[in-house]
Amino acid sequence: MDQISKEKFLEAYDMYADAIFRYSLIRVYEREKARDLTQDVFLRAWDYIRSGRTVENWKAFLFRIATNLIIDNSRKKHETISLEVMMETGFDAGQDDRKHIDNWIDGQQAVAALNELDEIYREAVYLRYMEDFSPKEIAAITGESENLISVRVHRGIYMLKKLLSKKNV
Amino acid sequence: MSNFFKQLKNIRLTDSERTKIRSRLLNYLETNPVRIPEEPRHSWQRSRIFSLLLTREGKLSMPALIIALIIAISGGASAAAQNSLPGDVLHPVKIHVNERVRAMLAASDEAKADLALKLMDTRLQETERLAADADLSAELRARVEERFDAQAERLSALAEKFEAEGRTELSAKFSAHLDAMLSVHDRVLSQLEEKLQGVNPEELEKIRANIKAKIKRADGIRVKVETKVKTDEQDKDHPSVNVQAEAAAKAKMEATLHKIDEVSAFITAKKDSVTAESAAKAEAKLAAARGLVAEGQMKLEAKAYGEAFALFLKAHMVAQSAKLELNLEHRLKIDIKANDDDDDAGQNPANEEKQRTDTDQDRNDQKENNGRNDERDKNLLELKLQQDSQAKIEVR
Repeated sequence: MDQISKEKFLEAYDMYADAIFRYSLIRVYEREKARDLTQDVFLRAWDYIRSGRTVENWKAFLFRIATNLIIDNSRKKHETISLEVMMETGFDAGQDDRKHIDNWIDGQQAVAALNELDEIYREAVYLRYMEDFSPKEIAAITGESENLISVRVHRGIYMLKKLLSKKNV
Repeated sequence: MSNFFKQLKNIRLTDSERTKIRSRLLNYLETNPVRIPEEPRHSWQRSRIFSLLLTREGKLSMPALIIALIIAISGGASAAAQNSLPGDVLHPVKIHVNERVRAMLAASDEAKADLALKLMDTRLQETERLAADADLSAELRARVEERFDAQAERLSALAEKFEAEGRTELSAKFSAHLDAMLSVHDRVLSQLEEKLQGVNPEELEKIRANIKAKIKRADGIRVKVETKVKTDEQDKDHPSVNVQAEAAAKAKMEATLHKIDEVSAFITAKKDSVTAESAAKAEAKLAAARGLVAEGQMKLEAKAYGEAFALFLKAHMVAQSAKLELNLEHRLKIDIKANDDDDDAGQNPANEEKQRTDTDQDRNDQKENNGRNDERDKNLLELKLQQDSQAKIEVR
């Protein structure tokens, strides 16, 4: 029991750590915070498992924890990040040890574009298109209704397209 | 647009970040293993010290046995083991050390039989506690049952020995105790089955089937003993035999009175820790037992030694089951409902009377719904019929 849980847990970590990190990053803007958040998500996941419960859908489960933690965090600190501060400090996606620096820059631009969306649309679009969750799963993760999520996804993607085309022009 | 999301995919943890978090998580997994926290039972994961003594199969090796003996003599682990259940680390200590020591200390045959009876009771209590915790696997059930059967064999061998030595009284006493103990456990198990609804039903069924078989056997011994005393009584021409029957009945009376005193003291002692209802129930049973004894004494005066003996025996059983039920309710924290087995107390003496006057046909009609007693009385009846047809009865 113990061993199997452990293996499954580590497997889940290897598979979803990047996704959770990315998701955290687009929500908290700071690489360091996102990294801590990722770790916390998995610690919480393990606490859940060791209390004797089982997980069916690991990905949705982890994203749900991440969503809750992000909400908890923002409630605790009441932090608002103004555009000015962001422009001053620059959006810090941190150091990356990958060789293709171009990719990194593209990634940063994508994050920046996403950041211009409202929080609710960003979350919905991101989970739908980046992580391939169904609206139903997103509804479970965020605790909203499925209908509302579908609407947000559509509006969000429409806004994003507009933003990107404006930039390209 | 798809390109856009592909770009996002480039955001990742760096390799060093990923491995750092992974190692932290691993550390956390080690210090916080999966385990439902539930203390007092010593289980494999928790108790590192005692698992050193055991081989991989959970058996005690010889040097370990010596160490365990030392510990056992010094007290601590053995006392801790006493409360362990099959599958726990200390359970082998309980089985192989505590119970062996007790077996060695039981010198006389009577003490041995007593121990066998107690161990059977212990095995059943273990089963019930496992079942109550929903821990009763087929494997554990089989292991416990094996030990239970071993003790049952021992006890029945001893009962036969008593009989062969002409100590009918002892044989009767143990079969009555056994019968009372098994009936109570049967009731407890049926109630557990209801309460647990669907958790391990087959395992519980198997145990109950075994108990039922054992009850039948205990009844067999009892019937045999009762018949023997009765037959002895019929050989009135042989004064010596008559004296023997009288002595047997009187000894049984003494033992029963003793038992009633013991149970009464037990109820007083436990009164505070059980519900008023169960205490009252136990008192009622005890009163019924006293009534039976009074009836038996009347028969004794009327020189109906056989009947007196049977009544004393029944009183003994009723008193014993009052004690056991109280004990088990206290331990398992369930409420043992009375069922038709309870008519051991009131109805049977009357039935016995009827048996003499009624035709067989009537009798069977009256007691159709009287399960086990019916069975037992049928045996009695069989013997009686034999008795009528042949001048002399053969004791089965």
